[in-house]
This record gives sequence, structure tokens and C-alpha cells, in this order.
Amino acid sequence: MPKYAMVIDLQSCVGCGACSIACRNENNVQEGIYWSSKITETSGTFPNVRFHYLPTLCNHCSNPPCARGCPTNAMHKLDNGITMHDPDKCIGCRYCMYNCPYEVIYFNWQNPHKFWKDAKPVIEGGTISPKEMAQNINNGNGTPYSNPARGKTLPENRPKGVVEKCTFCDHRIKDGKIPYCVVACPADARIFGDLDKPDSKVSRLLGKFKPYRLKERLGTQPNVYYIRSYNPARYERTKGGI
Amino acid sequence: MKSIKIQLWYGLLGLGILLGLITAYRVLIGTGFVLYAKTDILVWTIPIAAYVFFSLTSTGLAFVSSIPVVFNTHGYQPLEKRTVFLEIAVLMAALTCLLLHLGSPWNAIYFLFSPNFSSPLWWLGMLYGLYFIVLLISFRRMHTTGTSKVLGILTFIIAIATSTVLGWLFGLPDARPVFAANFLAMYFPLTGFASALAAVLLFSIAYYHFAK
Repeated sequence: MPKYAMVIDLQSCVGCGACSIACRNENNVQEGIYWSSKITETSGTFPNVRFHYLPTLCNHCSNPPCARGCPTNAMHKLDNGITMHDPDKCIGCRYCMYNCPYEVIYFNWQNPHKFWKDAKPVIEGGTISPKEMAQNINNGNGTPYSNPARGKTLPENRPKGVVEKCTFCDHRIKDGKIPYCVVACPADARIFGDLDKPDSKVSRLLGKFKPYRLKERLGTQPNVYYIRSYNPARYERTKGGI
Repeated sequence: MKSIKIQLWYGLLGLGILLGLITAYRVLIGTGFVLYAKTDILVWTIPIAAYVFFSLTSTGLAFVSSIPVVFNTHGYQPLEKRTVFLEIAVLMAALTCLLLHLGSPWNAIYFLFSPNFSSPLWWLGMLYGLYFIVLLISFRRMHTTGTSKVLGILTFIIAIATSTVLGWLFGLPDARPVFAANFLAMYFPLTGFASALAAVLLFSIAYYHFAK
């Protein structure tokens, strides 16, 4: 069985956020939820400052605290290593969110895509209302730009009262395609593959470059690895001094 | 003739219930769970705080009711029926808070069809279900054949289990260093016991006041 993982090359990543936008589009993610997110950090004091951009997503941990804590096994591991969620079993207790150290699970606090249910036009007498547009294009099913392919393994728009998170685009993996964030990255900074294959790109990269993972000391065994780092700064050759 | 103070108090309680019903409607049917001042970091909000208070008071009341039954302290016999009734009532309050908190409580049937034995929440659900059934049987027996020592001991053991499992639930996950505290498994039964003593005192005073 495959063991899917992702390697993110921080040297290539420019922090454009295309991965996050593509993910929202592919998975019909509603406002306030961020399956693909980021951590940014500015450190140091001027003029010796640096900036880090770290793209984040569900780490699909091999020892997932979310799945361990879910009372109904709604959050469970698939055979291919993906941590998957089943909204039909979810009671909305948010214990998975409590257990996740990476804060990558989100709860649907209200009905999805509230904007597209608004019957008030943006300009009275000038524009169409969001509700009418959604009705005309997609029969009122979420957004006008909803992706029906997502409906293969999860509801196209998850209802109020259940949690959701990144699924490594399992609906695309079923068709032999890689996750959409990986496709969308203009710098090819995200590499997806099977860790159980020694000649897969991810296995090779993890051999070539020393990886690190988020919060490794907690023992969750995440499967999203970060390699290299980006810093264009240079300094004149020096041996320091006393 | 009821005094003005009592009428004002009833009015205040009625207003509280009305506000609660309006909020429940707005959360479940109207706006949604955003009303609980949600953020994606603080995911357990007001209903869970109330749930923990009520459920620990209920298990604490089990400790109080075990004083005459399990530990044979005969002076506390008159408390027995009142305490068991309070246990059931407070557990109902806890269940109401839980129903307001859960996003999709109708899927709770999967507790039986798809159990996860490594989840403290599953154990809590099962223990509280068992606790409720034992309480109902206990309460009925008290009014028919008399207090059962076996049921009393069973209630006591389940009460210890539920409060310590609640400590496991909150205290042991590594993800939340602020909440993570191994001592919670001891802290919860003790504070539950304290709340229960307060509850027994409060309701005894209220009863004698209104029975006059």
C-alpha cells in the first residue's frame, strides 16, 4: 500500500499563496476555513532581519492525535496514509481540533458560503444578487464556481456542524492525479509522492536534503517534510573578530 | 402569598430561560455556532464550560450519595433520595449543554456502530450513558424496595471513572500546553465533590424555604 507524503522545498517557495487559492477552488472551501495555510515570521532587529514563509497543510501524521481522539472514528487513516474525515459519522464535538497540535482542522460554524445566499444585490437596480447568480449557474449549490469533482468522496459543500481539513485531494488521487496545490505551485515547490517507493521523487529528495517536520518532538510523525531554506542575503567573507 | 422578592427572582429565572431558548434557536436554526464567540483556536466555548460544571457536579453528587450507602455513615441517610434526584436533574442540564455544543448530535448513534476505544470522549459517552441508566434504576428502587447497596457502589465507581476520564480528555493531549495538566484527573473529582456539597446545601435551603 502506498504511504503518501509531501515535500515542500522552501528554497523554491516564494510565498505567492497560489497553493492556498487553488486548494479553496478545488475543494469548495468556505470563508474562514483554510485547508492550505501558512506560517510567516519576521525575526531579528533592523538591519539584520529575515523573513520566513512556511506553507502549511494537514500533515497526515502517521500517529494522528486527531484520529486517536475521535469518538466515532469519523477522523480515520486510510490505507494509503491519508488522514480522512467522514462527515456522516462526525458529531461535531471538535475534539480532533482540540487534539491537533497544528490547528489544521476547521469546524463549519455556520452554513457554508454565506455570501452566495445573500438576496440583496451589490448595487440596487444595477447588479444581480449573489443568491440569484448562484441559482442561475449552479442551482444554488454553494458557489457559482463550485467543483463537482469534490463530491466524489466528501460532500461538495460540507454542512454546518461538521469539521473538515485537507485530504491530500483524495478524490484526485483516486483518478491517479496529484493534489491540486502541487499542480498549482508555479515554482514546483511542492512535491508529492509515495514514501514506500525508494525511487519516488519524495524518497529521493528526503535522502538528498536534510528535512525537518513541524513539532516533531510531539511524536505525531507528520508526513509533510520541509527541505532547504530561502535566504537571498549575502555577507562579505569574514573571520569575525574579538 | 408570595413576596415581591420571590416573584422578582422567578421573573429573573424566567428571563434567563427565555434568553437561553432564543440563543438555542439562533444557534441551531438561525445564524449558527458563530454566536459562541468562536475562533479556530478556542474551539470549546461556553456550552462546554457549562457542561463540565454540570457533569462534575453530578458525579460529585454521586460521591455525596455514596457517603450513607457505600461508607455506611447513617446520619446522612435523609440526603439519599434528594441527592439522587439532583444527580439526574443536573445530568439533564449537562446533556442540554452538550446538545447545544455538538455540531451534529444525531450522528451519536455511531458511538455504538463505530467505536474508537482509544478516545477518552468515547469512554465518557459510554460511562455517562451507563451512569444515567444506573441512576434511573437506583431512583426507582429507592421508591419501591429501598436503597440498593450494589447500585450505590456501582454509581460510586462509575462516578470516579467519569471524572478521571474527563481529566484524561482535557489534561493529557500534548497539543494544548495551556490545558495539559496531568493533575486534572485528581482535580476534577475533588472540585466536583465541592460543587456537589454546595448544590446539596443550596437545594436543601431552597426546599425548606419554599416548603414553609
